Amino acid sequence: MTPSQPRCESCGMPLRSDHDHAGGNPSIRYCRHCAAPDGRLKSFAEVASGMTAFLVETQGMAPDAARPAAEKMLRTMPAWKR
Amino acid sequence: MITQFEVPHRRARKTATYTSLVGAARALCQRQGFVGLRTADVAKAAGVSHGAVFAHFPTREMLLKSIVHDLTASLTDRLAELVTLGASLRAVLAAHLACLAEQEDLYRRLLIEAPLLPESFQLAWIGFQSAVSHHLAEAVAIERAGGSLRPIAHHLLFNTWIGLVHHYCINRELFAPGQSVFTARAEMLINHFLSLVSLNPQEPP
Repeated sequence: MTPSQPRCESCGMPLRSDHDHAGGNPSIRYCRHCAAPDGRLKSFAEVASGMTAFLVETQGMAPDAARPAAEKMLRTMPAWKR
Repeated sequence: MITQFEVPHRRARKTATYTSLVGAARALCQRQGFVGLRTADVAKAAGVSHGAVFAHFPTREMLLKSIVHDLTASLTDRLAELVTLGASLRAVLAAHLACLAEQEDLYRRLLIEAPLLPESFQLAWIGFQSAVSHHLAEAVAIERAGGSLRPIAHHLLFNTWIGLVHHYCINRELFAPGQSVFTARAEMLINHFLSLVSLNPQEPP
């Protein structure tokens, strides 16, 4: 695949500036939504809830449709692949 | 025996084959669609053996995923590039149409066929549209603070815009025969949308 911008390994959010990284630290591979400022990744349930809210707010998806979609999307990411 | 000179040569050849395969698959998807893509046609168009396709992409679905991933990632990156910090809603809408115009044929194919593709493609589509909506949300927040927009929930605002854009895209031969509908109709679509969401339709933002 064509290399593009670095993305959060948990949710896929593009990491365009230091501000986007957890703790503002570019060596952390997760975004500020998915990890604590010290870089510790939040739980799967917490990240999935955040992603669900994002889908509901941005596209008006029904929460019952957004939650499974969010969980499946996260399961494709390096942090959550089983 | 493999010499130290042959290894980089092989690597370069492998990369070249990969690039040809992706380019050929992309062109075929653009012309004929994703659903009917045949790996034998990709191999023929790329000038490689049928087996070479599977050396790079073990399944047809993985090849299709690569095309869709490249399309959505490049569109998201391009939109971020075009949208400067503090951009107006009008500027973000124009940037959205400009980056769609750059990949209009492939985008239109995916728009039409996404519901027919496996679930993973639909998830990629959902994620991409949320990213676009998020870009709009940043500009909408600025316009709202300035008091120029009607109090509409953000998802309705986004869905109104994307519904308009996608209707014109799917039916582009009715609206811009032989041209890019995203270019030919950009000004009309943006002006119409802004008049719908503006508090003062006579003077939209």
